[in-house]
Amino acid sequence: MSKVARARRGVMARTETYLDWNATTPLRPEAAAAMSAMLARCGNPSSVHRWGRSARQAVEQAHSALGALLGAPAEGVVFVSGGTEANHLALLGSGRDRVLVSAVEHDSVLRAVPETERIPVDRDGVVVLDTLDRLLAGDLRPALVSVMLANNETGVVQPVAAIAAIARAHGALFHCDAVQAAGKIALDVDAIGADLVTLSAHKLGGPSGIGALVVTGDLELTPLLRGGGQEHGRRAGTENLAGIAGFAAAAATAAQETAVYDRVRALRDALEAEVAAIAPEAMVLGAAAPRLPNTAAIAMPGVAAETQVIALDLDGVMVSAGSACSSGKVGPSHVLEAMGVRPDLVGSTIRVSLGWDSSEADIAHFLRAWTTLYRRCRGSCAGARAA
Amino acid sequence: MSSVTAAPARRSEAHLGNGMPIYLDNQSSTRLDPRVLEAMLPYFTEQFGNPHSTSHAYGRIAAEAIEQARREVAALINADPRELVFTSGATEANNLAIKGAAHFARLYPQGGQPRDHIVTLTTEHKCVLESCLQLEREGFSVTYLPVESSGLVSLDGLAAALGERTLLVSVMVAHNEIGVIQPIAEIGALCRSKGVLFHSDAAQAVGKIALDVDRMQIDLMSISGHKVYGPKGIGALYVRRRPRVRLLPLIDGGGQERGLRSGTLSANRSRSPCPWASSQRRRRTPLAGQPQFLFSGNCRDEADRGLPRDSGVDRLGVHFGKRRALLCVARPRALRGGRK
Repeated sequence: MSKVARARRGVMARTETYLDWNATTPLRPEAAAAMSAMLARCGNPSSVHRWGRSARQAVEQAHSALGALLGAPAEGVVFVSGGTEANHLALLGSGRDRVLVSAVEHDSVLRAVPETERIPVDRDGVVVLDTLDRLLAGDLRPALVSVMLANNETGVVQPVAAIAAIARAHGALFHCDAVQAAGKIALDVDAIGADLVTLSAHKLGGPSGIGALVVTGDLELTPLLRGGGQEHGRRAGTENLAGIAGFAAAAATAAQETAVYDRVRALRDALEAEVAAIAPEAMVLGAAAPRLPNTAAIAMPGVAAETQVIALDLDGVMVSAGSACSSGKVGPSHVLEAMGVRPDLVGSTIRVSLGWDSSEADIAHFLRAWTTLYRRCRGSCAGARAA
Repeated sequence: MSSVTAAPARRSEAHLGNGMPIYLDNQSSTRLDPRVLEAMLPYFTEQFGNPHSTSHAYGRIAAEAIEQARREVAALINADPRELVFTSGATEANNLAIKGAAHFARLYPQGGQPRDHIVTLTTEHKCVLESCLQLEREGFSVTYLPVESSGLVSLDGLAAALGERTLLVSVMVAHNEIGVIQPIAEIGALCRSKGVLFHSDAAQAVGKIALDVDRMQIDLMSISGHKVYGPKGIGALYVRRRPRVRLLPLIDGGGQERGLRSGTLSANRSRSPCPWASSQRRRRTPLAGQPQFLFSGNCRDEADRGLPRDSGVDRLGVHFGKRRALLCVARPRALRGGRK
């Protein structure tokens, strides 16, 4: 990536290439400007004096701006501390007796409520609609269905409109975690058909520490955090003014620039084609399904994902093994397991994710490093097999 | 009055008397310290890695920034860095402390006696009271102790309220509206002697008075960033390790913050309280003289009513008929009058 990274020669002498955009993105200049302006101001949006009122106005503007971008009412936007909290608010706050989640959801959905029913996915990572329909028909208690718009590890995009229709037919609420999709593909909450949509700022060029739960109807939510009654009583706590302003600015820029992902898709596809040409046994997981334009889950059979990530990092290429969760977490990807990927492939898959700033030079750098690693490991793996 | 002339060093003189508004609502929110902004900026731009992606350099830089912040905030309250959980603010910290302790005690009762009783004050911040109300709806019992005319809790009354089933006492350090400081060390000693957890909302006190979680025997303590010249949207909960305080998380997921608070941490935000942390001593002195100065005219009698307060608290309880009267006092003209 990027001029920004390459300008920083202090840490590593050689070029650095950032291909972990699904973990987090650099702050967009528009967001930085909006945040700096807000940080220079003082005032609690709940105070009645002029600085308080001015802060309140800024919060209201961000509600309207984000609502307008998503096709949702301004009062439906609930600013929270990030995607994880938004997912919790949706699943815990809706108060439904049954919660059905897809097997490939992010941990923050899988672990939000003590008991969930899992909706399986097929080999391509797509939710099995018939099973969802059967699960909902089999139990008449009020339910909530939670399926992400796009997966963080494979980029696979779910048929959310169809899922929404099935949920609605059974009187179930539909929550959609759109954290990874937002900014990369056009987003309209009406088109998704969800009652609740989760967004995170730092995945689309905003700051970390801010996200939103978008409530499309007049759904009653039980708040997770209680106190001063901010965000229409749905989320207490002094509003994160700079975060909210940065989020709104980043979202506006992202919405204007979704066309850049045509170029990103071409880069990603070229990268995958090159990998296939270099290593016939390498696999791209989820490739048969509709995917985000920026994500490639690439298996190098026989080489542990952690080994690949560390070797690539030593060469200045930053990617990840699955999702970027708590530090030092090691374990097989539940996403790939749910897709029925062979265990040896699950353990040898890395995630390469591009962003709006990725260039052909980044792809070339990745391919050089990846090919070097592949040739080195192929020798030792072949040797091990022969012995 | 000598401290008065020293005080306005940071407060632009342009604010005095030329019609510009004067901000006397620092208990509600403070202006970001320029040094804080300076510390935050690199994490806005070049150093943007996800602190949980520790397999690559950008992630490790962000992770180290957060650990540095954790050390600095911990040093401020004499805690071990591992005892700090970053949250989205003091509201979340208070919710996590109270509900987290209660839910853990219900799920994993210790010994024979179930502990399902919480003691707090009627004057606590809304997010403490609302958390307690929610626990009442869930079957916990809560005692809301009144305060005396001084605004302080009666220690005898508190001791009498503690029973065998009492799990937690939640009493704030300094009050957000009237600035009174509760006898925290005494409450801490009382709670420790009875085996009751002690939570204190220190959002309004951190940075204004010295706090020591060991000396005060505090088990859980909430901190806010934007009350101490940091940004809004970041706070922390101190969770004692020895003896260990156990909580159930409010927010699950990636298992960040030792499993107590999932969600991607914000390096710029977490980083931000720190320059302030190291400069708190310098800051406390100039603040000390301000309220007396501001209220020395028509309000001196009120200000000197003898409410217990530490010299560092920058706001006093001034008793007017209506709360809004305070806004009138803060007008530039009134202030100039007071200065004379």
